[in-house]
Amino acid sequence: MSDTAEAAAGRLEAGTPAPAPGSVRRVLRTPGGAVGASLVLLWVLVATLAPVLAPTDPFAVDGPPLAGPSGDHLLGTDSLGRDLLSGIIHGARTSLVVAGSVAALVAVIGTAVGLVSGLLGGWLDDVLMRFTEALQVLPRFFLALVVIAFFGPGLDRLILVLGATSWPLLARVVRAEVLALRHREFVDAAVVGGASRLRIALREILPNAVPPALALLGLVVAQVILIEASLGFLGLGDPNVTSWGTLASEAQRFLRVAWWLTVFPGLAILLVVLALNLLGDLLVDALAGRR
Amino acid sequence: MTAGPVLSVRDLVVRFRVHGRPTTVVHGVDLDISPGETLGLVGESGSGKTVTVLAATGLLPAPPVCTVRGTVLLGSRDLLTMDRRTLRSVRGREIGMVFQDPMTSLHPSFRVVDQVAEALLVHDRALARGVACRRAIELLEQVGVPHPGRRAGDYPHQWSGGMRQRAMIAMAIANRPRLLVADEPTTALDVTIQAQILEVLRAARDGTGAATVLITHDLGVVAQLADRIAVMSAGRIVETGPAVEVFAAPGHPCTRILLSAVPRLDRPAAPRPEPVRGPAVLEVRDLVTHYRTPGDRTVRAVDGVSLRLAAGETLGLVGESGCGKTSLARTVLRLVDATSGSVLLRGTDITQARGRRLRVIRRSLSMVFQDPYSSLNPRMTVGEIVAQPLRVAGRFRAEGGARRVADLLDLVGLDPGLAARLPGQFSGGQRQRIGIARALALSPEVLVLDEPVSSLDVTVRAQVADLLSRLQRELGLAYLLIAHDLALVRDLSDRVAVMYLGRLVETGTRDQVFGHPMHPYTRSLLAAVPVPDPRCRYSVPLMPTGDPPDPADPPSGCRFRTRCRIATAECPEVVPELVPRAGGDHFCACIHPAEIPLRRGP
Repeated sequence: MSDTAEAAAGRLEAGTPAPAPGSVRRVLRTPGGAVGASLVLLWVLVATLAPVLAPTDPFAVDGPPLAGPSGDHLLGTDSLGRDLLSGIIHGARTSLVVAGSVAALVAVIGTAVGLVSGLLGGWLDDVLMRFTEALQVLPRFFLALVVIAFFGPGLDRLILVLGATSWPLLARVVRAEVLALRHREFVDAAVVGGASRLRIALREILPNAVPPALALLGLVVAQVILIEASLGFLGLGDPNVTSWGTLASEAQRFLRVAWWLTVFPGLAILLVVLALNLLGDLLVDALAGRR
Repeated sequence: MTAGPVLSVRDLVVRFRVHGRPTTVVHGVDLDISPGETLGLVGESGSGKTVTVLAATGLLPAPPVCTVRGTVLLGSRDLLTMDRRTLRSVRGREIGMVFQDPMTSLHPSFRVVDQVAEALLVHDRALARGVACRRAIELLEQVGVPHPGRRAGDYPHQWSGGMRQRAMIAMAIANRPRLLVADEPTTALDVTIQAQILEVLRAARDGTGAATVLITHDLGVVAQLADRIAVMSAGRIVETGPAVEVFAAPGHPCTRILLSAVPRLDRPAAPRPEPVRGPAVLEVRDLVTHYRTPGDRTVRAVDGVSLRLAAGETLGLVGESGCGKTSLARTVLRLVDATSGSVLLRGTDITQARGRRLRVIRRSLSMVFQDPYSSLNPRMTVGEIVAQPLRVAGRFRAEGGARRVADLLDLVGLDPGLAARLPGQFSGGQRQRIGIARALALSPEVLVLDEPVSSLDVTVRAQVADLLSRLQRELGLAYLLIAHDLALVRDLSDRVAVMYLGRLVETGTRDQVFGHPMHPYTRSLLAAVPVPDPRCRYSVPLMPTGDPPDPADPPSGCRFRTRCRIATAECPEVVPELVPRAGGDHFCACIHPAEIPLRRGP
């Protein structure tokens, strides 16, 4: 998983010409882009409207245990008779909360570090980049595991630990963009026009450096969803919320008698991660000016 | 044996599939090239001249993308119906090719000598490697690479563009081909190097007796070599005939447009209004700008330059690429810091100014950049770009806000209604106008123009140059014009300074410098500009020799002595100063500027 993001970052770091206007719209017209975008949109809609869409409360006992998919329970029920469809709909909410919060943290930290490092250079650049590299070699999943095991399960600490460790890739891409943009003539033009360093950073460089990095965010988020699901699968998910990983983890005991319990949560994870990767990959290519 | 054509192209049609739609790029071209003849294939970019030759030599992509019809006879064999294996043995042995960009046409990770030897080895399996390498060194010597034996271990990145293009020519003539194809062989090079490469091509052609096709958009280049000319436009040959006749009496409008686009130094210069001899607005004194490279070497980009720019006048700064003219401009604008010396703006030294004071100084000093595609922020609207200097100076409202922006756009000939668009929606010429409007926003006194038209299409260049002249007249601007296009400099400048390897070698009024050049460098620079008339070919005694030296390790004494044809034993000893000659304001830094007549031709 992390290979795709690394490869995408490599494509971005190879130096990017000015992205053509409308390239995002062109991506959405390709089959991969359209499928990716609609699945991501569906995921976000389901997550936000979960209480309205879900037939029942995901924790409510609503029918016979281990009932297969039927008219009453479209995706069947679990060992306690809880509706699986409701579980998956609310699970989408959990994954979105984690993914969204981590993405926000990553975007802010990554952009800030990349911008400062690229613009100021010198020893600060060296220090920040060595720290970034140190974080990059840290096994993130293992770190999350340790934190959860130590402080107990909970979405807040999961978000914090993933957010604090997932930004290096983004920071490096932003920095590479900044370094390339710094020598463009429009930056010289702003200097000659008397613009201050802050103005140049915020008005000239930032708007051009961020879009390619944001495309990468989709790929980072896909990894975060996988980590969240994996932790849930290991029984380290937050017990107070439904998560796809937790659903899949409970399902493994009944793999032989109730296939639906494993297949549907797994499918949900697969589709969202696939969609994010499809979209992220295409956006990275489009914004890097290469298709 | 009758001398039939070496290459005979009949009814060549090339179609490309562009976004699924078939587009015809070449519409039935006929060409004949006789042995020993040089054909100049000229046309604007996109006229199909390169595609014609690539199609004829089977170098276009395979059929679904591109279809080629017609016949291309090399001697008696049709290249279009030939199988790939035979075609491969023909290319490189019977047809030699030289491409446009010498920087990318050599393999970066093989030694140059081995690559030339390879050209021999692929066509002669029996040849021993050592013999091939010795022959490769001979070939490199033949094309004028100095001491190729000593440079046998060199990789392409250690060679300059001119030297690499020589290596390409060596490869092309290695097997004594019957046909030599050169596609824009000098477009990426400086005029001085261009002149050398054209000489090498001429010698290569004469040495091998190959029929030659020279593809270019520059009629000046063609005039130096071609016996016959074929003019292409929109995929058709619109005019063909002996070079002398086509140049003397161009028949087709396309030919005339191409001819008028060539900078003509042999014609009288455009008249300029008598310069108002105002006080100096900008003065550069003993300016030195050195860069440190990662290898801890010092590049002496600007090494003691003094200039004076009066209000309302244009000073043209010319020289080969790498001579330091852009570094000089960047130092004047404080984009890089001066190592020593001073830059006086209305008498105040600006080299030490910082922060707020620097920003105030910058209002009277502005710049128009070379590349209109990189000099406009792609994510700002045109209005924002032009308003930026006003906002930064806190004078947006005081100057009239959006109305001032509209006035500026109007001033440079753009529709003010387009202010809300992004730069991506404009052509190169329009973008350059936007850049000029931005430079004028704060009503500066001095405008630095760094190659203001060189990245524009030839037809647009004249329009932008006219705009710059008009603005100067109307607003009384002083221009520091940096350009390698000598004809442009001559048309726009009142005074001219010639720069070589970080130093000025000659300054004077434009009529002095262009009419009576004194420094041998100025003379060779002027002599290297090709004249679009086959009767006025290069005169060898004036041609500059070799490449410019490394600016990190300049020669002692006179820096030009290593390429100078009149250098003597004294030259390495004495550093020549700029001293007044003849007229009083004509300065030249040479210890013996002998009078070699510049006139050439019939």
